Amino acid sequence: MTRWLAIAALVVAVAVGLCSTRPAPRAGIAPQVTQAHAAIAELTTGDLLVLAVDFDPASVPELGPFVRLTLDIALMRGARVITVSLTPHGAMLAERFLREALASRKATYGRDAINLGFLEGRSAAVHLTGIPLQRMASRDHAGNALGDLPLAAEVSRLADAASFVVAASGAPGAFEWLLQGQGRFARKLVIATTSIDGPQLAAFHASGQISGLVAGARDVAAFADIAANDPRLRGDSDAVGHLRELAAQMRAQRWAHLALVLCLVAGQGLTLWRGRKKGAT
Amino acid sequence: MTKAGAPIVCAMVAATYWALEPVIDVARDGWLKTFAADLVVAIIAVVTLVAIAGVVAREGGKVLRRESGHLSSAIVLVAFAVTFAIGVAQGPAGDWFVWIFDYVYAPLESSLLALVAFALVDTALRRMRARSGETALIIATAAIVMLGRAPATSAAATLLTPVADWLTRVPNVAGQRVLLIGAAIAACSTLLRLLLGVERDYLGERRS
Repeated sequence: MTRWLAIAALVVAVAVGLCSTRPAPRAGIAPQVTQAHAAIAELTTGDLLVLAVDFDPASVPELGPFVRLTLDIALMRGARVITVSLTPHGAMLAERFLREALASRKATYGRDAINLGFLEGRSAAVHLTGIPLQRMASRDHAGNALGDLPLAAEVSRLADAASFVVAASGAPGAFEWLLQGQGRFARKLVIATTSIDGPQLAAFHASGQISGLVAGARDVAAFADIAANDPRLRGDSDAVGHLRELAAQMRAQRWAHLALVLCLVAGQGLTLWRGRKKGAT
Repeated sequence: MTKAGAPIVCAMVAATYWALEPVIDVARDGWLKTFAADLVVAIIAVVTLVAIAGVVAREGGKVLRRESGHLSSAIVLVAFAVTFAIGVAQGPAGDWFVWIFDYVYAPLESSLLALVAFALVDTALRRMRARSGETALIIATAAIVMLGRAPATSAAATLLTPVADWLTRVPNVAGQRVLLIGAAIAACSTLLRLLLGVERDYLGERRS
């Protein structure tokens, strides 16, 4: 019976969150989110951004808006983007996000951006970003020869990028880029991750190894909020659209969290009540 | 050289290289660096193939012997064969492969992980009990962080946000550092054991 009550509580909480149109209360913006936005928005024409998409489809609601917004800002600033993935499903998602961003910014695949796709080898794959690009990979995700893509000819190696931006959940992902990418090549590293993985990476932000950290839907919403109000982006980014999308997801998430906490409290109360009943008999 | 000698020497050479690689300038951009990293990539790729072969052999065995769950095993094998054939024929950007990813893999994976939320509320209600001061503290911290990371319905509830951020930034970072430094020291110890040829767990030998 109690199991069904818990499940019903969660279903009701998520349904209320999805149906509600009440605006999300504004919480303060964490400094690590401001730093993450600054690192991406300060890209200038011709800069190279390496974007690693290392999350699975289940994390798209949390991290998808961040990747879309990052691509949008980078292309708007005239930066060149190369996406890579340490997981096969990440490469598929990167292709989808990149095609959407290129279409909305009227940018050209091969000249403004390339999706290198899945890089096998976890830490060793990140390590290999230090060798010339043409030796590192011969084809992109879609099977095009890198020699036919103008951007590939202009880039000597991925490790020379202005910034590494990693959107990751679980492993392989953030830790591989942190240990092999940031440490070895001393690049700026911005990490976006899920609420679950955020606390594990907080120590690396505190030490200065991570330039900006965006953890969970709340931080992604804050990131979109900053982008929407950044005068450098001249209100041209799609940050407002992403904010609307995130608001609905956050409503469902916070009601689900509330249901979970209520179940925790109810569970303690149930134990106390049963204990007293047992004592009385 | 004994039968175990060759793997031990290989492990010692690999450990020596990876221990010294960050400080050897010659290796940073030279052929040795590329060769060593390529070797690791190749080994991981081969291990993946071995794992795939293992799954196919196990599930295939279940189907042939008609063991319980052989229907699920048959579905696994058919799904694997179809995805593998389309992937090899079209590549990862092929229309059919993208269709399988968008309409089969992504919804299945998302649904599977969504079920974790139901298991979590069930566990919260029936299993997580504050039987001691320590567990009460852990449960209270979890509740504050959960509510703080996704502020609840009112602006007043956002008061928990700075508390959740402080918990993440201060006690959590201290704990994470202890764990990470401990893990790093353990990794150094394992590396030293490999360098000296004492570490032989990978050969199936038990430590005394």
